[in-house]
Amino acid sequence: MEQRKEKTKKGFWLDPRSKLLIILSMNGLVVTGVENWVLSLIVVFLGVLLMLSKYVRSAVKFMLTFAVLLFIEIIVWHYVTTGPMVYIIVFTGLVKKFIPAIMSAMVFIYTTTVSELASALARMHVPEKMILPILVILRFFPTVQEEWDCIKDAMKMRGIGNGVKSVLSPMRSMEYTLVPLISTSVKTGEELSASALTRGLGAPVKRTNSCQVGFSWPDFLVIAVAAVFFVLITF
Amino acid sequence: MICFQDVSFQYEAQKEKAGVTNINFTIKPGEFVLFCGLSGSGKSTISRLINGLASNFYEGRLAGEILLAGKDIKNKPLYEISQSVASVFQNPRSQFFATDTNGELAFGCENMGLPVNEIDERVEEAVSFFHVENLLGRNLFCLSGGEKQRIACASSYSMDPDIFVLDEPSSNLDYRSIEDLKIVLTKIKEQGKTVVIIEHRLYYLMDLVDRVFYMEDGSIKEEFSNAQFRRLNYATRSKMGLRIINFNELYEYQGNCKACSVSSGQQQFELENVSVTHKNESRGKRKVLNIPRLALPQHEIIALIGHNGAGKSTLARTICGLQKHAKGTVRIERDAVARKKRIHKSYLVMQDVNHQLFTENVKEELILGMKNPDYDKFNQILEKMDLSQYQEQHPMALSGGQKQRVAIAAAMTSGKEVIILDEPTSGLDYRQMVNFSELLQEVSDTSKITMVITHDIEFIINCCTVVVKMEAGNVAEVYSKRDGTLTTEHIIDVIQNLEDNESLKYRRKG
Repeated sequence: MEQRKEKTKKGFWLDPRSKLLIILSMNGLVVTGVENWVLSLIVVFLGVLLMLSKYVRSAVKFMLTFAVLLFIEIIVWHYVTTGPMVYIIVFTGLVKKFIPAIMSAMVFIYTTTVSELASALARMHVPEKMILPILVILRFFPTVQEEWDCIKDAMKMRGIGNGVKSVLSPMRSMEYTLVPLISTSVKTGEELSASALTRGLGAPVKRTNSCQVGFSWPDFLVIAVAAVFFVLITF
Repeated sequence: MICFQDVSFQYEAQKEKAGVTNINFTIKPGEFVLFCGLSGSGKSTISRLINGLASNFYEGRLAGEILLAGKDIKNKPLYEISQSVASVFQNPRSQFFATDTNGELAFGCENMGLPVNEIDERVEEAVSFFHVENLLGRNLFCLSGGEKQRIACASSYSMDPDIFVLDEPSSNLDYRSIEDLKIVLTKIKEQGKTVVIIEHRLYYLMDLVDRVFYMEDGSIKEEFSNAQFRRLNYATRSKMGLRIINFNELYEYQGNCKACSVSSGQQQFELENVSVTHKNESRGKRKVLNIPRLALPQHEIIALIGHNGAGKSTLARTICGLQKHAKGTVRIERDAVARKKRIHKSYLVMQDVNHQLFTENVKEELILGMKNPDYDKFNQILEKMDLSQYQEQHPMALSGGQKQRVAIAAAMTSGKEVIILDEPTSGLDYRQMVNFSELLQEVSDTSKITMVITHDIEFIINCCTVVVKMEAGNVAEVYSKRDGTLTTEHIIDVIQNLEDNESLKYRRKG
């Protein structure tokens, strides 16, 4: 049994509640509008979190994209003074703000198991009626990802959804993506609920959560870093 | 004890799913009972009636009495039934609620509201009982189908049910995983649990079943004891649409197999120095495919066999041009074809064909891939695939087999030269499998390369003329009808002794 617990919490592990806090605080900061240097620090911070969760390549990709956008913005700001400048600045400004959102969501979705989240939410005294739908959503991310990959391949082989044609008729290509995605997701959802119900989901007893969650030093560390960001922008 | 008295069930919404009428039987505690029959004969409905999903989850009209341990379950909610009936389903992908194995094993007990230390105890017991220690702490999305089914069994076992209901648990499994499943079922039986299993594949169950029910058109046509069932000869059983009960029966296949005529085409397609290296974020680089040279004949049906992680899918995806960063050359009739070009020339029929049906009706689906629609050809293919009467129907309203035919027809209308099918016969009964073999023969006449990733030995013997055995990313051997290396005896031996290569198993983010 000891071994069982050890395996789940090997290495860098964060409580789902800290991850939620990160999502809220970091994106809260971004939405209120921070200067570029704070934004860069946030991206680096989230990048480090992603790397610690072993998603090194994704982390590097995001940070590079951010750096490139920042670079373009600075160049444009300095050297272009005509009309198009506005569009470019608006564009880079928008995308820049999306990057921390995606990164923090990735940290959460990729590293949190359904059982951990169930435990964490129960500890936050979230009502059980709300917990289940949230769990289902988390369970669905990897499923949709799998299905999305298959559909993309299928579309490539049929010669739809990519190339000039798809850009010219975006509604068409969206339809081609959504029709199979919805139909397979509905099917998976149905099978998933059938299976969950035959294992007693929805019984009128208080659900137990056997998965242990709790704060430890990495949690305090990231919470401290988040606090530092707030201090940084107030002064 | 399970007792059905004049049970009928008709589904409200789904046309394709067959209900049952006037079902009567009694299953004693500790009995191992098999329900078999053609697809659409109402087998699955029996399993849904026992675990309470029919009427509680699938809407429909239920008549008669279903007694579990003497009590009518008609008005019982699912969570109550679930305490005595465990269910294992066909699709390993969609029967998990948790995303990690530990969470999944505890899931049922958590729902029952058991105290944590009892859950731990029960899970531990289930883990050692089914020997799944090596699967603990793993991401469920990274397990193979067989591993998932073992976890499913262990996870329902931890709820301590009396009855196990399994609905085609082997359809997505390879030979080795089926052997594992058999071990698991033997253990369940030894514990004195009642087992009700719905299956197409029969051979692995013959040492276990006590009774066999044969279903047809929603009712129980015949009932056999194990001995009686074994006494039926092969011809009778195949007429009933049933699959083999042991591998010796495969020898009888050769005689009645029309599809085995070896074509005389000399043209080949070749792979040269093809390799694929996976860069996994957490595990570093690994070569998952490495083929110095492989030449295969065109217009033949090529079976691709091998264990999970042997590189079958990677090879298929490489030939189709879907695999990015694949190195090496693929030649079709001596012309090297670049990766992007191969995507246009090829078509991969996926295991779940729902991923590749995009439009509102069958006709549109088939025209979608045609550059300049040629209606003669179109009608011809429609006829061949037996789809003419479904032209105007929505693809999603068709049955699984029909959808599969639409997908293949779409590949044919768009003039694809390479058609690769991933496990097309999983979940097909004998009759459907034979029909499919004939259809594939047509496909191989028109398309240049027809390749099938499969575990289905009956299907291989029925219509494949070349078998490619993969092992650890390499092509270990090629057997072919033409040079006489592909014999029934040989192929049975090969399938039973496929190398399992754990280390190469491709785990996405484990």
